[in-house]
Amino acid sequence: MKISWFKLMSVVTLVACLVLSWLNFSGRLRSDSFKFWFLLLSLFYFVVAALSLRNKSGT
Amino acid sequence: MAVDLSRIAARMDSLYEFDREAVTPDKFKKGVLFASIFAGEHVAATEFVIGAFFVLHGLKATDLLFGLLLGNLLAVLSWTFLCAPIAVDTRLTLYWYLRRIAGPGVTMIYNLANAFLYCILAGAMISVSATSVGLAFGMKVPGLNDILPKNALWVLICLGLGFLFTLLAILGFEKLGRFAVVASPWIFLCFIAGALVTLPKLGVRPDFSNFWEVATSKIWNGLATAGQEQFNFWHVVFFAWFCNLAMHVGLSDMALFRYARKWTYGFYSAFGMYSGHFLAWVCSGVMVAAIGREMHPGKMAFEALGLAGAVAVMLAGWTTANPTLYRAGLALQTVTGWPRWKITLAAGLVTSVLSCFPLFFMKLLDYVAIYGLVLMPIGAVVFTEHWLFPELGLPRYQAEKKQSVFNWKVLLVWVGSLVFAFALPIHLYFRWLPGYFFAVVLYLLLNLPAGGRKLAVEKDKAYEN
Repeated sequence: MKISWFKLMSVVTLVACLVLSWLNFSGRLRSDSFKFWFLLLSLFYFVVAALSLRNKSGT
Repeated sequence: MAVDLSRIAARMDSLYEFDREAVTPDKFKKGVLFASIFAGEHVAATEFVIGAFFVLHGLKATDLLFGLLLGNLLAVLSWTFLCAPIAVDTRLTLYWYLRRIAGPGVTMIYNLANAFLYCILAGAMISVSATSVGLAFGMKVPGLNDILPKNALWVLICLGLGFLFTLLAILGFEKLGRFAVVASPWIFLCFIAGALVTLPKLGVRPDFSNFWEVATSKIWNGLATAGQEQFNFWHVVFFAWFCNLAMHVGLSDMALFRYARKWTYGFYSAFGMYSGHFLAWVCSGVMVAAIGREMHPGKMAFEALGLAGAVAVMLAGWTTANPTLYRAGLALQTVTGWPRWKITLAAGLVTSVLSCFPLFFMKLLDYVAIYGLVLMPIGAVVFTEHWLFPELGLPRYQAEKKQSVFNWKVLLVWVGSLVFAFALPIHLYFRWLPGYFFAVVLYLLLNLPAGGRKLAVEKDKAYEN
């Protein structure tokens, strides 16, 4: 069950990164803020994606 | 010499022992796995460079888009109609099938050639990563026509990264391979996001109303950068087609497709082609146009995505170089007999030195062409022996039957078709196709005099039973 949650979170994070890019493209998010949040979400993605793999190997 | 060769052959066999047997039906994999493998494998550091080079080579937007559509389709069809059917029919890797056809000696030469070509490719990937690390030190990236390194900092960063990648490859391919699974969707996202946020800098309005106008005037405007060759539609078609020539026409992806339930799984390669070799190439083209057409993958991604972009380029280089180093080590291990760590270290050191030479990074497109061309004749030989020999009543697997180390006919076809291809007075990108047909015809001609054809086929059947 945990695996699917982490996996789901990683997919949602990637979608969120894409949404951020769209906001920047459409002029609703400044470049500096976009780069900061994109980096933060990317870090979060790697954590949850790695956790989803670790749990997978544990099962 | 004969004793040494048989010892090397024995080492090679023991190394590949785990996949010696044909794959059994209980090990067949679902189509979705093939789709994900292809999608992950074909979004790599090379994509940052190739898409950007298409802009520098002065392609027009229509030539690029239609060229990529057709070229990638031809690549998918090559996987589907050339590679997958032989893999499904034999359920063997190219290594074991080639061994039956050409003998362990030729297989060893093939492995060595592969290892050397892998090292150069991994070197180019380290160079790509170096462009992003160098940003932190204000490093000047080599020029488009540079062959030798001119900058001490560039050499230091390449060697440092090369050593780090080698160390990580030695520490464990399996775990790192799993990290690549995590990284590849994010790297693909970085291509899309990077291009999207770059578009306003080029003047694209939020409603995309002037996108085509910007694309044709500021990105793929048909004007080649000084010193770069002018490309057209056919260059793109052939490049997209031969970009993975060693894998489809060269049949090395038999290792993958032997797990396919049916040959039509070859169509799943479209997931890699149209994501990595279409979207990612288009996206890197957009990004390079925004930095004044400078071949600097690190800067391209950094300008678009900030620190995350620079990390994406470095990770893309690493995740590509890592399995490449591993494969090179594996291939060389068979010849030297050294332990895995030692041979990976040696391959890594050679690769690190190669990465310092901008030639391989700046001439990546030509290198990819040569890489495919060199290994293509082996695919032609295997195709001929597998499909055409039975039709013509020619005996198959002569090396295995005679227990010979070298099938000289295969070697002759390999060398002969390369000489033929390199002598052709046409562009490098177009040489492999006539070279392939030449290899097929030459291999057939060399085997035609072997008399008693009908008898041979009967013997063949009896042998296989």
